[in-house]
Amino acid sequence: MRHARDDTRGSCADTRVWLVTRASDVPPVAIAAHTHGCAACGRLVDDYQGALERLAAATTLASALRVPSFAQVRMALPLVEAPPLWRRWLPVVAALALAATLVVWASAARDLPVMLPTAAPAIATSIEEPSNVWRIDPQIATVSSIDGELDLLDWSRASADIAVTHGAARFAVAPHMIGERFVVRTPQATVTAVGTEFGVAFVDGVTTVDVSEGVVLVEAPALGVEVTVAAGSSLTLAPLPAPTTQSEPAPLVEPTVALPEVVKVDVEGTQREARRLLAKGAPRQAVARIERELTHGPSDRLAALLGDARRLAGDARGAAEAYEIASRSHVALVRERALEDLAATRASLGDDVGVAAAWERYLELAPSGHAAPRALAALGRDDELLARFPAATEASAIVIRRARERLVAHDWEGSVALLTPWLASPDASRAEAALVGIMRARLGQGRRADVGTLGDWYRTRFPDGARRAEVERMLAAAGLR
Amino acid sequence: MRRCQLGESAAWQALYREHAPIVARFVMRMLGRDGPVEDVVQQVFVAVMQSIARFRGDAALTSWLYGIARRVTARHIRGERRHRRRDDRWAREDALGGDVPSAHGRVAARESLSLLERAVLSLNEAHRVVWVMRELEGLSTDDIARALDMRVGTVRSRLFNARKHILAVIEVADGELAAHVREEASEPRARTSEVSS
Repeated sequence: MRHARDDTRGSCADTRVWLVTRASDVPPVAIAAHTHGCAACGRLVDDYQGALERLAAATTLASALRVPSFAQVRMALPLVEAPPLWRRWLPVVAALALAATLVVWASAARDLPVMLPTAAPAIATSIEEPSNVWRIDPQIATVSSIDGELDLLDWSRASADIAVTHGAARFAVAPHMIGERFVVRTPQATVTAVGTEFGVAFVDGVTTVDVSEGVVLVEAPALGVEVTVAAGSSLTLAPLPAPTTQSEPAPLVEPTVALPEVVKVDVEGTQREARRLLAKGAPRQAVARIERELTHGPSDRLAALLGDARRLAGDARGAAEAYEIASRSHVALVRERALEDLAATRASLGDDVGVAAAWERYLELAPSGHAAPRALAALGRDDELLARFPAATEASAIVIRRARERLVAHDWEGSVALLTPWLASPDASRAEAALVGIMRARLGQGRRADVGTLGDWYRTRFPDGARRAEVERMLAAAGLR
Repeated sequence: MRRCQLGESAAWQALYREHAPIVARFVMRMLGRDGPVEDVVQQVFVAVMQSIARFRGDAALTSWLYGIARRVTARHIRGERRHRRRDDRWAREDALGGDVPSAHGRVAARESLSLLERAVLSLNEAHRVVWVMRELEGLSTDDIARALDMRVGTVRSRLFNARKHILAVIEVADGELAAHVREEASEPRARTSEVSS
């Protein structure tokens, strides 16, 4: 039924005009009155606004965002380098030379004694190089945050070898070094860069490796460990039974693994070759290389690498088979990693039962392992996850979901109570989610002043926040924009 | 920015950490959730790295990034069109395939989201970018005009047309709404004929 315009109520046509020209989400009184009475127009407005909010939310979730790593971007570009030192200082030197010439010329012209400065004047540079950064050759790597003792065993364009004898440092490897040999060693382990940025610490006999970009290979032959650590993950190795002195780096110890399978299978050589192929973006060749080697006999370590290679080559089913084999390794760390990868691969295949089985096995093996929160979340054990890992990302998702359920049920104070502790969280995404959730609750309660205060707070604290559009819509709905 | 312009790797990483999610969100909204977001974000930042020396700070960094992201995304969309690929990435759930379900079914959240996604992807790039920036990114028309280097009037006009198109898609998909529009459209004519007769 079409509704004609009158003085107090807009028409259907007015509603459409408002929808396409509106500056805010809050309809004028006449349009609001019309949509209240005209079911079709009311639904049109609700459909548009509702879908808009859902689309904004669906494309705001951090989990939906796929951001390539910085290393990937850098590798797509010829190396962006700082200009050489002489080029940075050339204009300054030229200016000084010109000034000196002018002084000499002017002095000579006036027959006055020349007073040349004995030292170049201090020139402030906008780049302050921290004292704990090695920039011996940025074409190889930058070593920063050095807090301890480091030795350069080898440092060239083809190979770099650094020993962390005590303390910690971070390494950012130049893209062209990927595929070359870049090794950081502690007395306990060797860390080979396959990616670009990572930190290595050796404190009190314990080696810790954390990776922020790319992937590194960690080998600790004495512990029987050989795993890859990916971006966002870290690995801590238990101390050696009898720690040796830390004043000198341990000599390179060739792995002396006495596993039965190694007798026939060249595990180390195959791994090296396969990793080089993977780093060069040739996963199919890597798969072929590993599979050829595996014809000589089984190897759980090669199976794990085969899983990685198959996954990169797009063969998820084959990858799952390989991870399944690796998950039965006698080395706990290899088993843990393989189970994580197995769960992820099965998830990509839509095998929910298989995913749950892999995570159950993971939790049995490593109840407090670094992937335990992910496992608990995947298994739906929310309360256990919240109790044991309250700071985990997965815990955040649960709290947000519960807060949203309370908002939908108009349990405004319940959602505020759930989110308020997060306002002071050092985790910006939690603080932002809490602020927006509380704002929504206050809007639901009709507390406009609070909505305005929270909106101002949001704009100050998160000027480029991911939920900005949502906040602006709430402010408009409260008539504050 | 100065340190980025001098090629400081750490500064680049800081800039990337802070702004890559914003760019990725925008690109995903332009190309759809199954679009090649990572590739395009990579291309955007390669372009940023190559043109950073030309950034003089006249505009906000975010506006400048939006401008570059828009150019790269537009290039991608044009390339796709040349290859005549059907762009239905956002219609993953196939909610609109085949016959249109009942009007009540239409209001289901999942379907209305899918419908809006399809409507947005059916906009041409010039209109889509304005709509995404206004409705999803929450930018003001002035900010959009600055980022896209166009007049505010042009932004408003494209926004008007984009919204009109999307509303039309929503109305057509909903049988009841479509009937309502037809009824409304026929009413003035009837009235005119009454007047004329």
